[in-house]
Amino acid sequence: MENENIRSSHDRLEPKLWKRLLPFLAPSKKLIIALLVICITQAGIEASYPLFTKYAINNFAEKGTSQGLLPFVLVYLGAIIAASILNMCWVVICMRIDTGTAKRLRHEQFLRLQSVGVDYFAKHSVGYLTGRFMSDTGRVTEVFAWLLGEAIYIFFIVVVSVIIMLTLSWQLGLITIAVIPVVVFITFMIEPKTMRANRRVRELNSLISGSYNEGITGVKTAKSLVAEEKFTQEFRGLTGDMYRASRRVGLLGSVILPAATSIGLFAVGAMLYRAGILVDQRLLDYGTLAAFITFTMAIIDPVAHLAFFYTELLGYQAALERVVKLLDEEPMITDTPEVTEKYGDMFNPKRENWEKLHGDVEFSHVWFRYPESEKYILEDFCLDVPRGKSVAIVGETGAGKSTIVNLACRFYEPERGAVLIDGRDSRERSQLWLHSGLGYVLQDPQLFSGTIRENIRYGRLDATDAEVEAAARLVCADKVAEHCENGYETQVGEGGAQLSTGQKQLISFARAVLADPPIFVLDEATSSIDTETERLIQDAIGKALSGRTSFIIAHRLSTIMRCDLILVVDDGKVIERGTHRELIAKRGRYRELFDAMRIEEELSSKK
Amino acid sequence: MKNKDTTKTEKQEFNTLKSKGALLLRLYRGAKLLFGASVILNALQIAATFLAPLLVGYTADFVIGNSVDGAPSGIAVTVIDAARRFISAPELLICSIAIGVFALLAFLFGFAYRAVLAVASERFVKNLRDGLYEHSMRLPVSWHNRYLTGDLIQRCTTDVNTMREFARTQLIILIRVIITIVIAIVIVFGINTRLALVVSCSIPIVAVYSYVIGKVISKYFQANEEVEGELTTDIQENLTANRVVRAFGREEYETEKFGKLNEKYTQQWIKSSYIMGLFWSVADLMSYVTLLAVLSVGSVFVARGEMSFGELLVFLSCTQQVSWPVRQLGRTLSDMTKASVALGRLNEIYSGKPETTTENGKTPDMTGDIVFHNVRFSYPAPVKVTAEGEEVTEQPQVNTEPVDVLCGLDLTIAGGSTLGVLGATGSGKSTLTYLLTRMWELPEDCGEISVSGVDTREIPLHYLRENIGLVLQETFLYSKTVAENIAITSSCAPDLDIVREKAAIASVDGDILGFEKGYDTIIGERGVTLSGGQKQRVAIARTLLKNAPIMVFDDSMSAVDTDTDRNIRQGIRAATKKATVIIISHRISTLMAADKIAVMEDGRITEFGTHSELLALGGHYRRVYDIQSAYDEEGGESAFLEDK
Repeated sequence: MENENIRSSHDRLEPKLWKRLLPFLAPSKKLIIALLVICITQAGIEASYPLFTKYAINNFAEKGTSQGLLPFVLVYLGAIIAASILNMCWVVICMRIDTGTAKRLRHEQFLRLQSVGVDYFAKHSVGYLTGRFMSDTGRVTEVFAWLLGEAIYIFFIVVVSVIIMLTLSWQLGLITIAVIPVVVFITFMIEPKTMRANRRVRELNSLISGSYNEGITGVKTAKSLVAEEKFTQEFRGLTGDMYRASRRVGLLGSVILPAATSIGLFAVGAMLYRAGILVDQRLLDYGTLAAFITFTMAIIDPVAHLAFFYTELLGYQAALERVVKLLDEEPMITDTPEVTEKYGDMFNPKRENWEKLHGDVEFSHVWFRYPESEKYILEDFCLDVPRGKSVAIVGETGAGKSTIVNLACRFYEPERGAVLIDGRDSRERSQLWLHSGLGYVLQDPQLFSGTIRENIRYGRLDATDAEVEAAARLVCADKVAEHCENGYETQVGEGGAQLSTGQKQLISFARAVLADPPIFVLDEATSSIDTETERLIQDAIGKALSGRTSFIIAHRLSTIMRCDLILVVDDGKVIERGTHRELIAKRGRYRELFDAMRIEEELSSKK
Repeated sequence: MKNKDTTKTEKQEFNTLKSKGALLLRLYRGAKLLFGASVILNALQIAATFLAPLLVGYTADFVIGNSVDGAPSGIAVTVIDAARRFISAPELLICSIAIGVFALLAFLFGFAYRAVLAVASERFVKNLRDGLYEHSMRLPVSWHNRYLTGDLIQRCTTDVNTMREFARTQLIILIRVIITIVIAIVIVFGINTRLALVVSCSIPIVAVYSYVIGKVISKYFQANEEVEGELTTDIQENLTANRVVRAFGREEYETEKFGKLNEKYTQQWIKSSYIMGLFWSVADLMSYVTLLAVLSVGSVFVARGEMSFGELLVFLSCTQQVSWPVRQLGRTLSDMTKASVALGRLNEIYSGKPETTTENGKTPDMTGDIVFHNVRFSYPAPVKVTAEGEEVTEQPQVNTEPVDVLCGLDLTIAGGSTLGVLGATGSGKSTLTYLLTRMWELPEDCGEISVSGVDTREIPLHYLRENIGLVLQETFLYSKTVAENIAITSSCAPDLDIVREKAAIASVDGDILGFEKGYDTIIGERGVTLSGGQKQRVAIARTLLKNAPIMVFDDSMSAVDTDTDRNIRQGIRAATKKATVIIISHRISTLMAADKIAVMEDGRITEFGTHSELLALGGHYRRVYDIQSAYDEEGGESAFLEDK
């Protein structure tokens, strides 16, 4: 239903949508006014050029004298220079409006994305979102600054030209003006067709991208099935459709500009005929005739372009729509006004009012389901984790192990029941209060561009160098720094790409330890890392967890067995809970998982 | 030494240039004539637009003005004379009609050249896309492994679009600009040499100016792109690590960091707007000054009677018509460097060496005997190619020496028998299947793998793979209907009876019927997600449809429960009585019924025999068996509890 609406909106201009940009344009108000003034002045000057032609022909060419040529040249030159300066101002102002608006839009988008639900990132890939940030936002503001700037300028130049022509000779002027609606009419006849054809091209384009994606990602499967030939044939069918659709767009697009130019020529022909008679009757001079020819040829293209702008604007509407959708993204978790009053918000925390976080976590009769899902994942779920205790969550990949962690971290809130932190509903205190007491280590450790030191310091921004290094030593991350040429000042690259997964993991441990959090969340890695790093990480886990409440999504036997409580998750639900001993005796799912892990360990153990 | 290096790079550059050129020619296959036609039509259209001012000038001079000075333009006279032969009317009317006819011609040529060009360039793009797809299908897995999937897909989409722009606009603008300048120069020199010199002087000046400034601007743009890269990276890192940001409560810090970069990016663009503004306005200034010069000098000439009024009009309109394309020239040239980069990146895919197909090899009767003899194999060092086409080792700070995955492996599988394989992650089990199907080629001196007595390297690739039904460890299904997925190897439309028969053997028929749209369910569409086990079973059914005499299941029932696992195995056995079957699994219950079982460890087979033989051996197999059968024995668990 919603999709349908979005689709149909591309056919018409939606002023409502464009209005959404106003608040972001507003700070550039002065620039916009300046732009208008510049456009009008510039149009005035440039529209007068044919008058100079007229003057030159009438006064020099016709009269056969070069007297007064110098002042004429100087005035003309002055006009040209003035126009050029205005032109330069136009560029600079358009750029300022463009980039200023884009900056404000991006900032707002960024803020929105800091507070959307974490599942938002499961539904939208980072690549997609980055596309919204950079290219879509750029396109939208580009329209406003450049396209509209140009449109305003063209509009004025057409208006001024028409007025001058009518004043010079209304008969000839009318011939030219009569041509304008023809050009506009042709454009509006063809453009909707082009737009529809373009939509088909876009659809095919995404199908083709999808095919490349499947072909390249599944190349091994295609080879094992000997289906390369078949897929290539199918792909050829798709590109064949694409060829026909874009050929249609190309053919339609070939009409307007040549048509406009020819219509302009027609007008000149008609005008000449009329002019011949007028000149004969001494009602018209050569100079005016020359000026008219110049005027007519000069305004036809701009008129065709004005009509183009309309379609361009429609084309950009899709980008705007995606941008607005992001701006409309509501934060999933919000603090109540009372909480914000006392504890502050994300950007202005009132740390002085914060209670100390001890780390008692209790799930009290929690009912929970993911948004847009009907199935409850937790039904009347209770779990008490006193401070300093550890909980292991085990299950197959994709079984939904992170749900409990998501609730404990308040990335989600229960539908019914409550998650109690230190005995109080976590909603009674601010998100930042809880998050400031969390240490979080991900299976796929996320680092930021910058040095090793900067990455560790992310855990506590005011930590001294000595504290950073102490934290690193505690979890053996100092070995990583030692291994690198520049020690702690080594650049880790984009997302930490210069380091191995194991090294990244050790640094993210150090980062969490530096924060000294009462609650620790650990998503343990399954990826194969060399045994040396593996041993270091096991040590790191032991040191990092001691004395803290911890939730561990666990894959390693040694980690699981040392936890105080084990939860077994299957298909999103907690199906078994207890200590290692209890669960082994139960011979259920845990036992199966445990055996599988033991087998893997047995097979990789050396005799 | 240094000298030698430069010659080498120069030669390399020349070679890339040559292969890029060859690629371009290849891509214009079937469109060369069209492209040529559009160039000719283009010239005609430009000629028509130029002739019109000549006619206008003639009309003004000799029809309206009754001028007697100067010679009328030869072309205009010819045209009007020709027109006079067809229509008898006052000369003024004939002239107007002639202008109208030229307007029509200009339209027809203008439309025709654009239309023909559109067809030619869309054909070019189709060739490019088809070629990329086909070639990437033919490239070996080892080639694909060196590239990031996302990077390859981006090349096939973004770079293709850049090339499309090149074919559709840039190339033709270049041609058009040249034709326009040539025609304009011919016309103006025909009228008045001295004034023509004024016009033609300005052409190289403006062209060189726009080229040079174009280079300067592209440097600014490069700097902008760098800052854009920083900003993009920052956004990507923030979004990727959104949980980290939240868990550490770093939203404020992140927003501040982003704000700084955002501001830097904005300022960077504003900085470059000065040079852009300067460029445009100075270019405008230049062309208007040229116009002014023509107008003033021309007026003086007319005043002195050296030139007619009509000729001055022609001069003015020629000057105007030339000024825009000349400015365009500089910009197009700098745009074309982008296309050149894109073409280079695409050429890299095109120049990848396809798999050796061994087209005329031996096609032995597939009895299904398989022999691995002293097979040694290691994957090449993990070299990745960056988006810029540079090769980098993936983890520069980690040891990247290739490790032998298989070290002298010997294994004989009798035709029609079943082999079970047990082994830890990384022990080389999957490598075995890749080498058997030649997904990775076994180098000449690294032992031999033979099927039905013939070295696999001598068997035609398609024949080999058609006869081996391999179910890969990672299941990959296509976004088609379930039926189409199962029947993906058949060339004609899927026969539902056969599809269902195979699905039934793979124990997935019931699951599929349970979907709302049954076999017409499109996989991956909104709301429909198959569970891991269902996907694996669909993949099994798909492979069964191949009816291959050799079947390989690479851990392909891991997400299926033990009972279903047994049903599937029994079904497969019953359906393919004579087939050789290789099953890789962690489940003893899956392996124990096999004729022979191999236990792999570090690229070697360390235990080999029947179930009972291996139990008696008391090695890894025995201990794994003990762990799994401990379910049914009392008291077994206490041992594990004290284990750690």
